Amino acid sequence: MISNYEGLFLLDNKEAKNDWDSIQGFVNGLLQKHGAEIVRSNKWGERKLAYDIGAHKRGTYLLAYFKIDTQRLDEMKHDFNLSEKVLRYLFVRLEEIPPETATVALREDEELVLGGPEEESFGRGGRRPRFSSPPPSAASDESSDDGGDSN
Amino acid sequence: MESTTSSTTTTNRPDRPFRSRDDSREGRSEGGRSKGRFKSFAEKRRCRFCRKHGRVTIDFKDIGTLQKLCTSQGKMYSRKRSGNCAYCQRSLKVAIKRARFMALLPYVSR
Repeated sequence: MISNYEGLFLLDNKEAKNDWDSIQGFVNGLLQKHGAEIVRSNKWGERKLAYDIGAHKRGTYLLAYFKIDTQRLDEMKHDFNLSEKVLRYLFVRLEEIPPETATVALREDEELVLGGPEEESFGRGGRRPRFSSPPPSAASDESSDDGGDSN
Repeated sequence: MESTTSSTTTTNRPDRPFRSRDDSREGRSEGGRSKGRFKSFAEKRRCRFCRKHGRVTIDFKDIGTLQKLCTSQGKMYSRKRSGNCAYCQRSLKVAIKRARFMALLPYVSR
């Protein structure tokens, strides 16, 4: 059965910078070798990684949309596992391939700023903020989950 | 919903939005304590994703949105904190874990 897939590949940054075409050709070639029909295959961006992978601190991403027989997907994954140029890959099966305009862009040089603003909805009718008062003794607050600040 | 017959006195007040039965289940706050407190209860009772896009899978590549839903340590916010409905929270969980795997988000950070 042929399904639509979205594949995100994390590639070795040095090789990607030296010769993008050859590494893109390598990835596309592997896809086609296993019978995938490539709909779109583009460089998604280059970015500092959220954590180091081996010796790599930066990486280039390739985003591809393709159709492939689901039976052949495992063999293809095996080939990608063996490759040293492809550090990570993630395939997501899709109902249908979205248009190019619907694809989220990678924000290349933005620093990751984690943490939401305090005033976001608390989901339960806007009760008092979590961290500003000591935990109540009543059963209303079952799980004190995130943060873990025990005062 | 205004009643068209003017002879009977209706109990519907104009500023209370009509709540359809199936809608009120999602992300409902308790006891109606917050009625009329936010801009419009009908709007606020849906989670941020459902409001904008309806029921859709959250894309793990959308780091801009995802990073707002993690703490500064990189941990995911609970549903209570994020205000998501159950469906979106599950979808978010998958998206964050995928993003972490692809080194778009950290597993742990200072």
